Amino acid sequence: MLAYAIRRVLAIIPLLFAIATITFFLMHSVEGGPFDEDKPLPPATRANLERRYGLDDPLPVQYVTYLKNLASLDFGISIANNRDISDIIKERMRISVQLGIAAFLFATTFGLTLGIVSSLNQNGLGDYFGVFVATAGAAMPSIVLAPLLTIVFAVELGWFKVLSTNYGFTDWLQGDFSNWKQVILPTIGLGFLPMAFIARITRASMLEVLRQDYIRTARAKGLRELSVVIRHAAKNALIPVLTVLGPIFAGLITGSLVIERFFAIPGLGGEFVRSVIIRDYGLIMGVTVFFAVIIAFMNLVVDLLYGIADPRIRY
Amino acid sequence: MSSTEQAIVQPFDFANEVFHTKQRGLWAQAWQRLLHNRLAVVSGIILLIILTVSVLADFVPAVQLHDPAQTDFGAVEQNPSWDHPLGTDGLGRDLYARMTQATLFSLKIGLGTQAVILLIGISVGMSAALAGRLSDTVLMWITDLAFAFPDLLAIILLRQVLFGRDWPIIGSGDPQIPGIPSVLLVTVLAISFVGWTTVSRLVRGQMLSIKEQDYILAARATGASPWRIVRSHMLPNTLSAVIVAATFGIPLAIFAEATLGFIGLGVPPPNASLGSLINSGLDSIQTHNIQLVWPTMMVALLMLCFTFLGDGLRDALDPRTRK
Amino acid sequence: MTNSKWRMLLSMFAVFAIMAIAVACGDDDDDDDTNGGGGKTPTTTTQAPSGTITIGATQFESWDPHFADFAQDISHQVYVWRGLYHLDLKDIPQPAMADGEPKVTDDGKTYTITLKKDLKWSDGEPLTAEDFVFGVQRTCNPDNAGHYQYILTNIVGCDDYYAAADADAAKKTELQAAVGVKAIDATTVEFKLNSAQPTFPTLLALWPTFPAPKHKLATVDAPWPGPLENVYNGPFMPSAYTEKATMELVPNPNWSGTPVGVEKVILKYVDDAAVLNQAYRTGEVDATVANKPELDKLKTEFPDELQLYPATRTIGLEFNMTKAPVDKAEVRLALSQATDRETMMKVVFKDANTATTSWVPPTRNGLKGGEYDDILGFNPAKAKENMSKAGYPDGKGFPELTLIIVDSATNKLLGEFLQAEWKEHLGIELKLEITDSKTRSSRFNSSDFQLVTGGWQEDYPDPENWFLGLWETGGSINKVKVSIKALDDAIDKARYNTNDEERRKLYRDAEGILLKEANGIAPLYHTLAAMLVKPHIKGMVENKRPADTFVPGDWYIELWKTDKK
Repeated sequence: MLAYAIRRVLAIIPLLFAIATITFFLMHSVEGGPFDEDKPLPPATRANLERRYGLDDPLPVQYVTYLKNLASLDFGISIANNRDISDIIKERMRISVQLGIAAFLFATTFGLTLGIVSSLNQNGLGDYFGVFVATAGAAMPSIVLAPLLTIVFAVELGWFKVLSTNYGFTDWLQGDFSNWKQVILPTIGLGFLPMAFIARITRASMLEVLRQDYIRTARAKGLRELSVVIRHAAKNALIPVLTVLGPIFAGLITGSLVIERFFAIPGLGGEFVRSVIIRDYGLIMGVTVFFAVIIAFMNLVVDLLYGIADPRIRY
Repeated sequence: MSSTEQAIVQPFDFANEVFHTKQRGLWAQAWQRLLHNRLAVVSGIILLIILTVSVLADFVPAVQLHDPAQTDFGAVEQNPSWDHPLGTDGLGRDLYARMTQATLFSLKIGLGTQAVILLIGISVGMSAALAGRLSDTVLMWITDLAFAFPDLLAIILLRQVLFGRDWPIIGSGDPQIPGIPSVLLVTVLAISFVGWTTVSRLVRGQMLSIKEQDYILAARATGASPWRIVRSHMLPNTLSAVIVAATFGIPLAIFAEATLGFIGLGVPPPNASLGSLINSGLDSIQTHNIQLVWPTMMVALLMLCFTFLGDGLRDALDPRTRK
Repeated sequence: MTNSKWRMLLSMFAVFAIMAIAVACGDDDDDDDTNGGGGKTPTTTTQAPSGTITIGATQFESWDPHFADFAQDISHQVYVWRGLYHLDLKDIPQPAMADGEPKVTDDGKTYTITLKKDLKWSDGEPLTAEDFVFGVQRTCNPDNAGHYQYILTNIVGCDDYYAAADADAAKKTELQAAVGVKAIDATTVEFKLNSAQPTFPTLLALWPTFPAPKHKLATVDAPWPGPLENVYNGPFMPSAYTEKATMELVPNPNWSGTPVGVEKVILKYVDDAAVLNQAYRTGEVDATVANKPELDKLKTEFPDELQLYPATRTIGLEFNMTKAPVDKAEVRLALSQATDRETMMKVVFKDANTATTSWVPPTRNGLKGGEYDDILGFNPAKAKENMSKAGYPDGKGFPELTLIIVDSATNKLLGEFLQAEWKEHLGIELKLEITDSKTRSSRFNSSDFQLVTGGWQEDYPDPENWFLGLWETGGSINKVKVSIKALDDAIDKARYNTNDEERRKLYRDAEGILLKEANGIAPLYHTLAAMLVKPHIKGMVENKRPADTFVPGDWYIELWKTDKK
């Protein structure tokens, strides 16, 4: 299994190369360049700008230069603001990761609880509540959910802040919780859909396990119900849940355009959409490669988890 | 639209579920079980009604009541009335007519995306599982490649590269296939670009695991031809998982299209999708919010119905979860 | 699954409940939270700065005024730097770092300007004539590639230097020294111009001529230090900054102008005007741009706090003069005359813009507005007639016409509005091509379009800024390919005309020639600036140049005051 893992990690390298290549040529074939502005630039200005950012070279030359720099982990500078792209990604990522982890914890905690409670009260009051929350969460697109959360809980009720520009938990480590009004809504907004999803899976998986013979046996032996649920049922039911948590986690920490936009959070999701919109070539490439590493890595983790969960799978 | 949502397409507990019933009876039994699931049946009926109304409205003006493009600057942003059952929008267009038009377009996106995803996903997954080691390695590498592409980025880039070109079929200009404007094709292709990977992995995994099952070994031992084994044992057993995945995928594609509209890459007029209605409704969330409420409710309704139908199908196709 | 009906009902109820909340909270006009309602006691003048103002803002792209391009960059830069002159509320350049009016030679080509005494950067270093020379050289530097170099094209040697991107280092140094700006001594700057230019003092109030701290920059193309590392000569300076989140500005101890009124200004960076308005409702920001699609509601919600005033931006239908069918004057006139601008303002823009048929905003050229209504204004009968004259009676045989617009909810409404209008009045089918902004700009910049919506946002307050480069044959940004001898002549005569009266008249004539046949443009509207300002703030006075970006009075931060502590 270790050999398999190493092989898979090594296989990520050609994968990244291919992704960088495809993105490079795709992105340059999109119409419009970074210097096509609403107010046209005079030709002399445009020429100097293209030269400044190396866009006056033929495309193949730019490609080779790019790969060379990439090999030394140099992503170049952003056309938009002349900053180092690795710095931009680092800064934005720090915020997105915090938001992602918070949303992930929210989603798993409540998702698992709802799912287990629902399954134990199948068709009872708890079940209805769980299913109610899960379906409502999944049915509302986040572009509607996010502004609604703001209107209801920040503007009308005044419980939280509209702007979450200081989102983050680094201050909490020093005992400063003053930004708590800024962290709750975005966390819920981002975590709601995955929470609903986790709850659904957990419920289905629990129901299946609870019908298994060994649970019946355990109950027949006269074990306490709590022990049956926790030690026997939940432990087994969580295996399928575990395997979906990887991709969910990867999706959450790479930022969400919609949540960031509606709560004014300076994360990576908005940054990379913006990079495409304004044709900030270096930033597009940087973010794509960076995301690809995360996704490929998460993918590997999931495959390994599958292996652990189901010993029949061979590598 | 992020991997989170994509993950929803991923079914979770098929890995070791295999039917031991005879294949002919399988579909009939599943159908019977589905019919006993009232929630799924109701969902299916609602979906049928929505589909029928929106398709009919496209052909029969009487169903649509108004021309969705007919503006009336004297009657903008009206609340529901007898003449305009859902009210009017910012240009005085009838919202009911716009809703039927948008729902049809969004359903086309959802169904079209799943069709493309299934086509690519099943072919790739099947070839990988059955056509030998080399093709498995190559195809799975390609799958990994597509999977590692950030979804939203790939969708945006592809949409931007493909859209507005003078290319055949997907090129701009008048629809070259009746009823399928180029922006629909482009959106469908862009959303499918990443989506198929989950299906192909699923199919491959299912097939590999079925290949080792006793009854397949038995069938082989009795000398059944490989094609027959694939057709009558492996494909049906794999398909059940795939169908369920596809059902969940439809509303997700509709969500994805709405997000595209949110960043200014939506469907241009005269087309309208539920996503584009939601996005223009967001502007009037403070003033005339029924413009936002209707399309959101329709999206929610579609999401719920497809989810319940998917749940029902899964239960029906897997006898062990039967109650 | 049994009891499925129940579940169905419940889950539907969930959705409906959430919708109901949405409907409920959208419809009721809840009472204003009386934030600034406390008794308004008259405040005494010339006090120590006090109070904090938080405003909604947009993250700047470049902190470097000699490179800057975007409105949000420039707004930031005017908070913290100032040039030799600064435009007053009437757009007249008044001495800022300069001590009095410039001395101009009789040929109008040499300007000598003396600095105020004892000017200092915020770090205490002296601010000298060299710093102003360095600033202009940076803008003309080809490697820095400043976006607004073209504004300084009349300074001797600036164009040559800017065009020498591929020259070797020695040659570049030589060209840098040849740029017509010199420090005569520590407090005297001299500019040499190619031609006498009456608007030159105005240019000395703009960001491309702001000083550059020579003690902070090793070379002319050295990277511009970031907000917390740089030094400032404006009213405020940054004391804290987090990219994409916030900036805090505190008074610059070495500021030499009108004493500032507030202790601290906090900028919150938010991309979405709708979100900013919510933050205004909860009091998280004290002043911000208003979200225009919500204007109807804002008018009743904040009748005393909403400020609406004209900005100097004109948007119209821009025709490519080389593409059929809009190469025909009759077609252009017909399209303009078939467009009901008043209804458009009401329906599409919720009165967030004002209808017009003029190119130069009336405040800029001394006209009242409405001079071209007879030619371009809404008149379906005339429009039909023109269409027939062009050879397309009732739109018969009219070739395909595509309008390119940038995707946004409002723009889509605009496009669909034009579609409906032209179909009704002219019988033609307009095709819409909705693109993202870079695609639209790319088409426009390569003149690969028939029809777009677009126009001009003024850089500096003078009619010349509405013509130079835009409408002359072969003009550097004449992308609609207007080419009219009479127009060329008028602009040429006006350009370096030192008789101000005549100069302005020539530009009015030029506008007449331009609009007579809707050459290249049929103006539709001037935009309005829409801003929300809490009542406890005083001194946020509107200015139109170059359109307030964040709050009213972006260019006069020193005048802001607040009653709130």
